[in-house]
Amino acid sequence: MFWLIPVFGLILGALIGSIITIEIPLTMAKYLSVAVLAALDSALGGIRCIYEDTFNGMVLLTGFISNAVLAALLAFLGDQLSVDLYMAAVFVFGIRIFNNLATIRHHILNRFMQKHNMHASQHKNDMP
Amino acid sequence: MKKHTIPRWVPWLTLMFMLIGLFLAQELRIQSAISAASADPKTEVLISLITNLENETAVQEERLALIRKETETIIQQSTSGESHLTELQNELALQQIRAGITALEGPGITIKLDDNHAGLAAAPNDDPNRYVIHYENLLHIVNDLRNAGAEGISINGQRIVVSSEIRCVGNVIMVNTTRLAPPFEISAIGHPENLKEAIDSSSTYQQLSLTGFPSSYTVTDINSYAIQLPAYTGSFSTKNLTAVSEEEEV
Repeated sequence: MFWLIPVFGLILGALIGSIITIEIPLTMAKYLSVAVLAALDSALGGIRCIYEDTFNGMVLLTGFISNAVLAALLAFLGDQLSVDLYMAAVFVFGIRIFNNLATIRHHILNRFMQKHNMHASQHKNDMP
Repeated sequence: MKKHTIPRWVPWLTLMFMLIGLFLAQELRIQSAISAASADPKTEVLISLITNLENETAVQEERLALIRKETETIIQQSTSGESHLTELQNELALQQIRAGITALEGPGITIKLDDNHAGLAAAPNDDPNRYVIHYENLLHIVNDLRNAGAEGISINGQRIVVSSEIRCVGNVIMVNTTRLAPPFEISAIGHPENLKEAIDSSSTYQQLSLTGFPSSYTVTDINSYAIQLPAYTGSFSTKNLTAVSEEEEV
């Protein structure tokens, strides 16, 4: 039940976020939303890596930071050029999130199917 | 994946999810704040902003109208000042004319008088005073001309002004403290007919002409500028004068 720990982390983070008011200017809201997407993408990517057994904490963290920074830079540049460049980040993160989610779903399904099959085969074997 | 101990991904993912939770909470707060701001209060703010601007515009327009009015008043004042100045200048010119300190021209009469040399020659034993033009003669003629509405009079180039005297010093006539010698030429600007009538009915002139003094006069046309009067070149003494103020006058 180690899954619950990150979930608690999510809840804790949300609680901290709602209790502590970090004064963020309204103009920064766009960057924060991109950061949320980057974090979500990184977290899902991390989960995927767990299933693929390629998880690396540093990769996760640096990926999150670099993605968030790049996305923020894109958003800033877009603001300066009055082009919604942050949409590119949103688009990419969205695709990656869905991809990661699909991969995770596949892995979970595979595991479930494997377990089910094992059970089934065990049942078969048990059968006289 | 090792299930017996805490897997190494747990702290990382926990950290990640904490961050996600934190960001999401903040983002939600901001978005709710934005939506709250973009709802009624923002509209109200905008409405109040518009109202304020409209009020300000009204105030500015009022000020503009006031300034325009002021400008108009100033222009009027300046023009009226100008016209006042012209009025004053005209008044000054008129007063100068009245005072006789400007040369004038116009229609009028010229009277020539001379001593009765012929009479004196004919009667050498008679009193010579009977054959010369006296200052009273000139004074009376001038008075007759003034009575007939002469607007300007000069005797031998001496303009008769308010302070002019016609007097006798010894055997010379002085006008404006200037000695005059016969023949005398009295010029007067005024209505020629009136002046002619005045001279015709002047006892002094009649007497002089009847007693043999060389006397003649020429009357100009009413539209003529033939009569030329010089300006009074003397001074006006005002040493002892004090103008009575209007309040004192009343």
